[in-house]
Amino acid sequence: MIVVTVVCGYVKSGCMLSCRSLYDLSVGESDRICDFEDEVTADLLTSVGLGVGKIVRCVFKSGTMVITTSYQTIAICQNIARKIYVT
Amino acid sequence: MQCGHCSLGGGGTDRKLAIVGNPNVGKTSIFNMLSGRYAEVSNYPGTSVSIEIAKIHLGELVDTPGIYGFTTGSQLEKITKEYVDRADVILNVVNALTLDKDLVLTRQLIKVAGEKVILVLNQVDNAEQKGISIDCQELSNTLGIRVIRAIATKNIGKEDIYRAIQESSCNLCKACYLRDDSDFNNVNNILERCVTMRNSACHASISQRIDLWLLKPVIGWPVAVAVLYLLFKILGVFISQNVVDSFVSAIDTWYIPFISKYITNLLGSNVFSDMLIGEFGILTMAVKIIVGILLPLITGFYIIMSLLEDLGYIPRLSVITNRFFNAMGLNGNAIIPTLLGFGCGALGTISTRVLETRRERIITTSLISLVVPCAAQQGIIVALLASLNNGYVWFIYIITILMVMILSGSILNMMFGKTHSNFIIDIPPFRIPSLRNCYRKTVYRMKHFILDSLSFFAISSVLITVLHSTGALLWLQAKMSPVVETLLHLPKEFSDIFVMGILRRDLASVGILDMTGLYGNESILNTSQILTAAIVITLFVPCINAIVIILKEMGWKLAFALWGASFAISIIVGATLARILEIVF
Repeated sequence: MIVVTVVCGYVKSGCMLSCRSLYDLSVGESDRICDFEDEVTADLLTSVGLGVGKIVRCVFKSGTMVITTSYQTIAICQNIARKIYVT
Repeated sequence: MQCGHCSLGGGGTDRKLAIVGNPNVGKTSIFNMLSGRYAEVSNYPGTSVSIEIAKIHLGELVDTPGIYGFTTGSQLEKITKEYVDRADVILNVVNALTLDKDLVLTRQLIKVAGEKVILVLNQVDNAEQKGISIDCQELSNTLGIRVIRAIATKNIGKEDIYRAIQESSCNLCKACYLRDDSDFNNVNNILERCVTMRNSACHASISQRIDLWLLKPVIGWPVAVAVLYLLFKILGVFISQNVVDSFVSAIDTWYIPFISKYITNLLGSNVFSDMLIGEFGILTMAVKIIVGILLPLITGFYIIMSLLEDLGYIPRLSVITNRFFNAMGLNGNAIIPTLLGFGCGALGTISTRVLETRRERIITTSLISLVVPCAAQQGIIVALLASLNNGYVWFIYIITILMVMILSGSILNMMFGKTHSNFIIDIPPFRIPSLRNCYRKTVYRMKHFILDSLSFFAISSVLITVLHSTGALLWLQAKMSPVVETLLHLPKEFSDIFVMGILRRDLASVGILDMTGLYGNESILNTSQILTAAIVITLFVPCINAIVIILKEMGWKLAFALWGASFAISIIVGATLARILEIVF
């Protein structure tokens, strides 16, 4: 279990996902949001139109992370970006 | 006509109509369009933090602050929920460009209020320009509510909204709830059904491309400094040295001799005429300060601020300043109330409602009260320091204020328990500022400033004249001498400035301006004294109206604490600086 957890990266609600955190995206890289660490983060992200399935692109990263979707530019602090999982 | 579903009449002027929507979708623009009134509109989330009410022929129209949903329980959500519960018709404004985000609230509203909701699809022109086409009929069928297309800035959709409100209580109920719940619960399904995009729409917009550069600190900070420098050039050089000079000399040459002669002929020479046309008279000093000095300076400030707000620069500034505010337990969102505080401390305090926690609100309110000069005061300080023609003066002033800000912020952060402040902001696209909106906003703010300040200036003119004529001013000067002369190394006349500063800091700043001899009088201050005075008055106690707002928003304990702390900090910093400056200059 421990090995699988380390390999997969994150464990959420008992199911293992091969996700990485949004903050691990490199500048210019795109990925799809697959999960959030908790409900609070999910609510916060919903408020700016980010939900599971949304494709985001990292445009800048240095403490604050700036991502773009098709029409939006959103700035997120590192703390929240680490609670968003992409795959 | 009575509807069986919602027991509302088809018309009537006693109906409550609430405008609800996400931040920065154009709710206030819709409110202005429907009511014919003007409430402030800007291109950043959180412009409206309070309720605007207008009577229209269909009922009472209420503009609520922007919210994302009813899940976090923030103060703005509570305010909006109260109006949603009471409303007979809810105009849910959404931005056609960001439907995926905005429909989340729409779904919540329909669950709470059902058939009362009318969806107003704003900014459809922007969406069409970007290749997004929305099938309103399909959207209406899917959601089970009426959908109206609108372009608030061009007054398009007004009649359709009126008609929808009139028909809402009867016809809508019949058309309601045709939707399939499984589709309704998924915004993506709704979008797939109703929205079509051209391929070009998926490419990065010009605004996003500019953001790639502007949001990087390496470029963002120099741009921010350049904007501040431009502000200084316009306010400190052009307006204060040319416009104010012309206004003041016109008032001195034409107005004051005329009004003095007229009042003397009418009332003769007595205490009452002294209050009107004496050295500190309502018709002389107050008019000279408000019309001659403050009006041109703050008009300039408000014009620039309006342009920056409409352009959408403020949210970009919040991203690059996020790290700076992190040091004080805040996040980049604190830049919005701080910048508005540069307009007026009271306004800045009210705008702290955009911040998530009470802790963040207290720290930001404290910083605004302690170190942020209002537009009028700022204009005068810029004029004051610009007149010294010394680059070091600027450096010392800015560094001192920044040091006090960071130190106070860090102490407050420790006092309230260090926590990480979450920062997330949806950056609106750049928009070419609407000159009409900038003009209306500037006039609106100026009107408020004049109405707000006039009474204070009249009171302070009367107060100082009474103190002067009864000899109380001399007594006060003697009593304050240890603080003014011994601690701050300033002339005893500075006691008058303290009296004025308790009422309004901008009034006190004008007093300093008067002491420097910039507009005709003889100077009684040297360079180090001018700098000390400018810093003391920047850090001095908040104006009475700002204190009243703090009391209302945060309670009397914080209001009292801030008043006392500002007084102590201004004296301590002023005394320390006076001694250092005597060595430097």
